[in-house]
Amino acid sequence: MKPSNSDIGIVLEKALEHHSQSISFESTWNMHLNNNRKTIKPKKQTAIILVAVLIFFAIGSVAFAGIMRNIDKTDYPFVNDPRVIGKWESVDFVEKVDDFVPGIISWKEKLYLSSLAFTKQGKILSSIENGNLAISAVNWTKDKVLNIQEKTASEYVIKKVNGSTYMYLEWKSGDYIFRNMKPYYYVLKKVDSNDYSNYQVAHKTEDKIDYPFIDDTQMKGKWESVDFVKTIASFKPEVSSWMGDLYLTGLAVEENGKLTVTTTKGESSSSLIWTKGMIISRGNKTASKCEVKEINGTAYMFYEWKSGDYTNRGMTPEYYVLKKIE
Amino acid sequence: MSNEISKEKAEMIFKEHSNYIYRVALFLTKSKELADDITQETFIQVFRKYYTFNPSKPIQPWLYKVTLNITRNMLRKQKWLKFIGQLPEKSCLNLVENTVFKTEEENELWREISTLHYKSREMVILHFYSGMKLKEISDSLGIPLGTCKSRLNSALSTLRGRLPENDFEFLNKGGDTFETL
Repeated sequence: MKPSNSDIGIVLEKALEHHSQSISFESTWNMHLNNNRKTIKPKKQTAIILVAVLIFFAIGSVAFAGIMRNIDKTDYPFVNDPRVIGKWESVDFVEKVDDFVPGIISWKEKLYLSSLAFTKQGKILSSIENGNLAISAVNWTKDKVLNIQEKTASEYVIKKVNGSTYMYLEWKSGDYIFRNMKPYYYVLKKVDSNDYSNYQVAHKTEDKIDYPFIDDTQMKGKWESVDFVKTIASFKPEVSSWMGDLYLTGLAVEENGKLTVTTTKGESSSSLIWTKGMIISRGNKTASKCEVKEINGTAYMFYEWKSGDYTNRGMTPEYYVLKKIE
Repeated sequence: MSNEISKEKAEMIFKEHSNYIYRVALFLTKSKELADDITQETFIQVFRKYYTFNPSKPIQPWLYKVTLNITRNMLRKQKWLKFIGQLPEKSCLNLVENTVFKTEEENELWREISTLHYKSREMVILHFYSGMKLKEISDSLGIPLGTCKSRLNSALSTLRGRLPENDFEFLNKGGDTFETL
């Protein structure tokens, strides 16, 4: 190899001429023959393993959470428990049952769950963040509160302390479902033993629903749920933000406002109808906004999900994201 | 495989080029250990992939292509190892502790060359030390000829800016291999 004879070449030649490699041809040749690369040093090996583990957790965390989530048995028959019927108000949130001391609130933040009312038929009304009592998605049977949608069975224990009756209810949030953490306990104090079966929920949001049918070819077709997001802008096609099962699995938007809904419970031609930019529920008296957007060549529908959280609790609806499949 | 390299041929290539490969790696990484690793890895790959080499072409650009790829990968790994705390920060090796330059200007020139950015140093070592033409460098680095010219021009402009008092011929005209700039 001929070095350059320029000034810069001379300087480089002078600087580097004293340096020679210390490896032998024989060792290199033998490594080539054995198809055996230079042994990875233990420190490097540790680092490589650590990086691989980090990458695995970073990429796989969402998928892992979805696959490895806790699933409780929830198909228990209803068994009555007269002790539980009535209204209970939250007084504390504790790590262990024994941590609760009446009159002392150990949980320093605002309690999310305000109260529960257990009806004789196994239904539960709930109040969140001091809101009104509203019909909830959970049921109860003796010693358990069952959430069929989230697939959790939370145990409750009832104890008398200083003349008052307290319920210790396991709170199976995402920390339990996806992170396998031991659930904390809501401590609820019994305030009455009334039956709330005929309780009239105080607040019910009703939308205007008498819209005329306007055809829309963009909306028509079969759609499959891919995500559930807080806002339309937060959806990313390559990332699933909803870690649980999607209750709504698909929609078939047909001619003349006809709509078939598929959920995890099966297919139903419900009381839902559609018109351009909207899905209307006559039963719940809600009109949900529907927006079709094309992202990276694929059509997605953003369907405003107006559940009981919207009608009974006045909460802002979130969005199902459905991908067009037909 | 019919085009597998013979031991004799491998030894010949190793003897002829290994020190140059080592010095280029040393200049780019400023680490003797890494430069040894890069040299060995380069030849293992060269021997393994020799059947893909077209013997009617000069071997030097191919050798440097392999060397530069391995060097970049090694440096990337080093950054990761540093990032995750598996590698202590090292001060840069003084390559010229045993070198006596003829003039203070040469000493100053070396100092400035060795502190250029990585991409500029790549251009400088390949062009002025290894004597490669810009077209060959462009092939070795896998970048367009125009980018090569621009990188070399940028390296020389930096040196001109840092060495305003020195009248090195290559800074005004370019070196004798500075053929297409």
